[in-house]
This record gives sequence, C-alpha cells and structure tokens, in this order.
Amino acid sequence: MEKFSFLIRARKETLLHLSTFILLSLLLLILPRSIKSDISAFVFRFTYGPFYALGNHVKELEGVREENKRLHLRVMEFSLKNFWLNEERLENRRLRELLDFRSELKYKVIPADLVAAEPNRRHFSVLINKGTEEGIKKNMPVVNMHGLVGKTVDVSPHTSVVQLMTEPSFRVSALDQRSRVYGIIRPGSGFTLRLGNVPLTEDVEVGDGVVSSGLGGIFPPGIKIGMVTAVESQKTLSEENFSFGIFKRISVRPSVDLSSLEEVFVLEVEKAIEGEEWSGRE
Amino acid sequence: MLWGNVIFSKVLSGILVLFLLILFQSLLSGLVTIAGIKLDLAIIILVYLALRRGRNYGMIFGFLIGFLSDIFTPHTLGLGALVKCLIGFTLGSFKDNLYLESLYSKGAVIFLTLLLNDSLYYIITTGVSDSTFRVLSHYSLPSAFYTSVVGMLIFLVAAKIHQERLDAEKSSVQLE
Repeated sequence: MEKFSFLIRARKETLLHLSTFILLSLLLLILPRSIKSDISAFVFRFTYGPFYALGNHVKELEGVREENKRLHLRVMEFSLKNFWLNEERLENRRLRELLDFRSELKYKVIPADLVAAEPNRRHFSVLINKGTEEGIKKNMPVVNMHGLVGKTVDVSPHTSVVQLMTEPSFRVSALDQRSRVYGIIRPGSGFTLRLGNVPLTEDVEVGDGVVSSGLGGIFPPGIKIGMVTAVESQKTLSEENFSFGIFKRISVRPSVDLSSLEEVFVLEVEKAIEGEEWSGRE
Repeated sequence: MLWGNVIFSKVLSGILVLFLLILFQSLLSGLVTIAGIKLDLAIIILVYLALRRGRNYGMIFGFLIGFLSDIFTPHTLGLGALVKCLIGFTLGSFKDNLYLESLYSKGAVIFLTLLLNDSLYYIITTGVSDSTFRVLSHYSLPSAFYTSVVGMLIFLVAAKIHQERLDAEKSSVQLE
C-alpha cells in the first residue's frame, strides 16, 4: 500500500513537472516577436556565442594570407572594370536623360559576418552579426558576391536572423535573363530551387541565368539567383500544385553555396549613398 | 545527504552534457556533415538519457535542448522545446517497459524519434502540405538514417563503458 501511494505521488509530481514545461513552452511561443528575439540573442550570447566566435576567429586566421592575395588580385580586376563601368555609367546617364527616365532605386550595402548557422539539419536560416543598431530592419535582402542569399526575418540590436532561399516559405519574383520570362522562385529539393508559374508556352532553357525581377517590393531587380539546370515540359500531373500541366517544371541551381556562407551583405534599398545609384530597374 | 549528492551529480552531468553538445554544434558539426546531411547529436543524447534515466530527465533535457535549438529561429521560440520535452517524456516513460537488447532496435528508436520530432515541428509550423513532405524526405530521412547509424555506435561505446564500470565495481566489492 505504501509502495502504491509512492507511485501515485511520483506520477502526480511528474505530471506537474510536465505541465510546467508545457506551459513554459507555450508562454515562450505566445511572447511578442521582439521579446523572443531579445531572449534568443541573450541566450545565444552566453551559450553558442563564445564558441562560434572562437570558431570564426580560427577560420579567419587560417585563410587570411590566401584571402589577402586573392583580394589584391580582385581589387586590380575591379579597378580595371571600374574604368569601363564609369564610361558605361556616363553613357547610361546621358541616354536616360535623353529618354526622360525616372530616377532609379537607390540602396546602401551593409556588410555582415555569419556568426552562426542552425545547428540542426535544416539549412533554413543563419545568424549575422548586424542588427537594428547598424540599420538592419526586417525584410531586407541579403546577398553575397555570388548572388541572392535570402532576407532578414528577425532583428535584434546586434544580430539578425536571415531566412535562406531554401526555407520552405521563401518566395521571390524572378525572371529568365535571356528570354525575360517571369516566374516565382521557391525552394526545391535539398539545395536546389524551383522556378514556378512559368507557362508551358514560355521560352526557358537549361543554362539560362535567373535573376530577381524587382516585383514584390523586397528584392531589387537584377540580383543573380541561379542557373536553370532542368526544364520539364510534359503535360503530366505533377506533385506541385502550381504545375497541373499548365506550367513548366524548372529546376534552378542557386549561384550561392548556401552551405558555406561566411560574409554577406544586407541591402538597404531606397537609401541613397553619395555617388551610387541603382540602375537595374526596368 | 546521499540523495542530495546523487541529484547534484545528475545536475552536474546534465550541465556537462549540454556544454559538450553546444561545443559540438558550434565547432564540430560541420566536420561530420556528409554531403549536406547533418548529424543530430541532440536527438541521440535525448534518446540515450531518456531511456536510461527516465521521463523526468528526458523531459527536462528535451526542454533544454529544444530551447537551445529554438534560439536560431526566434519566431518559433518555445516550439522546439515543447516538441522535444514531450518526446523526452514519452521515451522516458518507456524506460522500464522497452527492452532494447539489440543495437538495431536502439538505432530504430533514434530514427523514429528524429522523424517524429521533425514531423511535429514542420506540421505545427507549416501545416500538412507538399513542402512538409518534401522537407521531411529530403532533410529528415537522410539525417535520420545517418544519425541512427552514428547513434548505434555511440550506444555501443556507452554500453561497453557502462559494463566495464560495473565489472570494476563488482571486483572492488569482492575484494572488500
């Protein structure tokens, strides 16, 4: 009997503990987003933060000499390119004035380092070391030198969460660079992407470049997204809702290697910098 | 006093395990990622501790590792903690009823736990859709297989260490 009462007591205690943890989890879930971000940033600073900082520091030291050499070469390349681009820019301005075009989109680039990636198996988001204090806001496009990376979704004072293109809910309006066909980029399987909503009659070929179209208001036009790797035009019932025999099934390989991101740039669209301007709006 | 020492040592060992897990996830997880397939050490540890130490430990540990994984996706803060806490509790409840003698059965438990964890997480966040199944088949299945294989090896090593400790205790009792 005594043993039996002990069991009942133990069970009640356990259920009480379980209820407490469930309540605590639900409480965390219903907290306002800003408080959640603050809690996450605070906990990160005292748990993963020091280790990631150490890892990043070691990585930086490892490649710094090679990187320096490589960057010197790049600077030379870009200097030469710059002469040519300046000429092009002046010509562009003259032509725009002639055609009476409206002023272009303007943007500022905020460089940021990756401080952490999701430790579990998903490649859906990464944490960068810039936040509201550095001018980052929610829904800002994030790129690197190879192309589009994603957008900011959660912003704390000194860190931000970047939603990668592989996140299931990620969408960006895009267009085929060659044929100017519009579509919507969404995640595919693994690290691949899909260019959806492209009718069967449209002209898209393997090897075509895919860039952001500028529609949708978040991503400026002309940012490289990837390259078409497969186009299926059969009028078959597909697993995707958006391709019920009306649309092409187009696979796109991202131009950015999302599994090994290090340095990224956050674009502050419509913020002017002296002497720089966005010239890709159609 | 002895009971207090036992609790204290359990808490200390729990903190040590969490510390090692954070260390692994921060610095070493990239080294054991094969073709983009990641090893989920947290799930292995959760299964091991819940089955070995029971539902209280599984519940607390599940909550803590879930909470730690949630800080990378602040908009769902609390969800990972909830899912892993429930999984830890459920697994821990089977502590005395589930006789997992063969190594393969332990691997199967890790495999199913990881799939259950991901299924609950994605279904709660995105609902049941094509993308849920795509994410599960492309991320969770390969990772579940990889994690269960590594988990079996870890369980094997842990069982050997445990057996050696028991043998040493036995021989010291006999000497006394």
